[in-house]
Amino acid sequence: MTAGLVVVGLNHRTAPLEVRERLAVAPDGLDSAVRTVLSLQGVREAVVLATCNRVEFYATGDDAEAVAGALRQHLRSRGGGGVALYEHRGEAAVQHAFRVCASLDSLVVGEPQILGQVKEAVAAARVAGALRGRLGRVMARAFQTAKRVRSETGIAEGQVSVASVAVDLARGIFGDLVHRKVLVVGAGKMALGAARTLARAGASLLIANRSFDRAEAIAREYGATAHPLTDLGMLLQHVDVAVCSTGASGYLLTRHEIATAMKARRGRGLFLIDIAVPRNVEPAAGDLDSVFLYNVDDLERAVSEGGQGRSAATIEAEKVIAEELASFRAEELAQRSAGPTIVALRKRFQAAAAAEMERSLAGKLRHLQEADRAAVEAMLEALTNKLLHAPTVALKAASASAEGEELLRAARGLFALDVELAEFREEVTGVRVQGEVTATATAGNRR
Amino acid sequence: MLGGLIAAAALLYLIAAVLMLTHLLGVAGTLPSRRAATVSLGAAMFAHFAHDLVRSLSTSRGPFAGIHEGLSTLALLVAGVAFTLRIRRRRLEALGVFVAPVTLLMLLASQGVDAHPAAPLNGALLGVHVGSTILGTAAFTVAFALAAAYLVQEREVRQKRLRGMFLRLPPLEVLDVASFRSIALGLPALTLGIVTGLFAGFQEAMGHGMPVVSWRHYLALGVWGVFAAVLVLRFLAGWRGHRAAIGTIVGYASAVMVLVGYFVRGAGP
Repeated sequence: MTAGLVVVGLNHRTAPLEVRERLAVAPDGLDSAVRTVLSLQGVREAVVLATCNRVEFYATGDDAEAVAGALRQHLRSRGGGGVALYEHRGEAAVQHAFRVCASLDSLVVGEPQILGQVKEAVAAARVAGALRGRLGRVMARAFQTAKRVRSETGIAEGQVSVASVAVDLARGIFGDLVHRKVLVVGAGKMALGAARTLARAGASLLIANRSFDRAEAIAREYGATAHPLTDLGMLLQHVDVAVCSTGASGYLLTRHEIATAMKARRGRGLFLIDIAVPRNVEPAAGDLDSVFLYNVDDLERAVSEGGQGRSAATIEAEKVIAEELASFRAEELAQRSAGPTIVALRKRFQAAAAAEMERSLAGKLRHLQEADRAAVEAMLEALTNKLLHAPTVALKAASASAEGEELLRAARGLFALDVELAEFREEVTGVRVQGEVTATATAGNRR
Repeated sequence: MLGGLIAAAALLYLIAAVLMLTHLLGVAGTLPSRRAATVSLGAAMFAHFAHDLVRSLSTSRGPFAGIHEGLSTLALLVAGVAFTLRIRRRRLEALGVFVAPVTLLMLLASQGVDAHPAAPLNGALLGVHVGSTILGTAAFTVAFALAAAYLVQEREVRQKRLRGMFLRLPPLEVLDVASFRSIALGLPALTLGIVTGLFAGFQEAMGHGMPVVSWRHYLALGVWGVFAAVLVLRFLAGWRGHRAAIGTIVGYASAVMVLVGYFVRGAGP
């Protein structure tokens, strides 16, 4: 299954934030990042997944070893040197993709953002022409798996979010949040989520963004006041909490700037939440008196500590992943091997011949004696075999060639063999997924 | 009987302190220990109060009659604040951890000082001196507990430990402001105590030719100076939070030294 699929990457468990921020890819840089990976030696398809917790390259190629080597080299050259990169191939790579999309590999197990981030990565790869079939199928199945995991297990229930931890922390520092001022720098989803939760707790919001128009639009939506990014120093003197999530490549707030603001604040506490990767706030600012600085790892670690009771849901989710993996394996087998397609084709012809035979024997040919009936049945079987001989030989020959997959897909499409193939998968895995049940019912009606 | 009551009170204060500490540290089965701590603290206060009442009736000396009575009253007052917080302000109850051991030490210290010193002050002036000093010290004890809790909570926040003690201690700003208010209440009271004490020194000097200012006065002035600095620096230099907490603890340590001095050398010069 997916023998040429490779994943190479690093995440929150294998690489510190300093390394991950060196490898960060801005949303508008995803397209060029995936094109670069696609241009590597031996890479046929590629997806670049870059979030605050992970940077992963998914790729396919004829020589998995060469592809993996090229991906490792590329990741190291971009700043991922010095840390252990993980690598998965074939079925292990598919399983990794399923687990990532289902948020089982996240620091905060069950968090919903990762699925959206993978979808954005896949969309960027599609736009760049980096998805040509196999990897696209893996990702589509990963999305389907993630959906099943969320709907069939309790993985998302009682989810402790980064936003709720930020509010708990703000309460731990300031107590009551009513009339507290919260500055949101940038317009990241997570920052706005945290800001919304803080506003719900009674805090008033200030929005600062590089684009003042965008700041005004968000401010209108949240009942906040908009400010240009140039006011940041002045704003820091007055707010109690600042949530930073811009895509800036350098520090927006240095230790010196914060120390200056703290002088004007006359020692009043300042809670800085930096959920940007690369970070927006110089880490050394966390040493200042009355400054409490939390980055994305700090918050997510706090969140994951708060969600340790979801192990039962995690076990259920792993079972769903295993089922989907088995089903996908059978699907891939059917896709790549001529056997199931030939069997399905034969079944389809034989079923059509049998149905016609039955109809005729009940109607115009009902006068036939037993021996005549047997002769007609033999003739139909011989006809079926003759008609299927050339396609069977062609499909068998094609399955051994590089283009065989296209021919197999064409045969399945021409003769509408999905129902038979679904039955084959069910026989192999014992699993029937919802979409296939619907397809079976629809095909049954059609028949 | 008096000895039995004071021993029971001391033992119960000790039990309350240990139970409150186990609860704050999140030792297993903390809910029972939390309730047991409150009951122990209440029982200790009851035994303590009974002791002071019986002693007062048998000696005809009021709660501010001298350093012996005053220290015991101070301990009872501070325990009362801790008990009230446990009953009324759930999130401030953790302060008892810092207050209970101090209360126990004060109670024990009160038993060590001379019960009938040659007091240079008499009547109402003595009552004002001891009473205001006790009130000031009680306020500083609460400020100390708040400052100590601030430093523990600050460490939890800085080390990103957001469970356990973080959830059981009050918010940093609540601790900071409450500590400031306690000092703001205690400082005028201590000022009055020092002024009446200095007045006693003058009286003593006029009567016996003794030094006007004794070692206790210097220490008391030192304590006053530290707490006054904590207040002034808060307004002038924005000393809040960590620095203010350190200043408060230093000031309280000085105050404890005065009490230890009384314990070791008695109320004389």
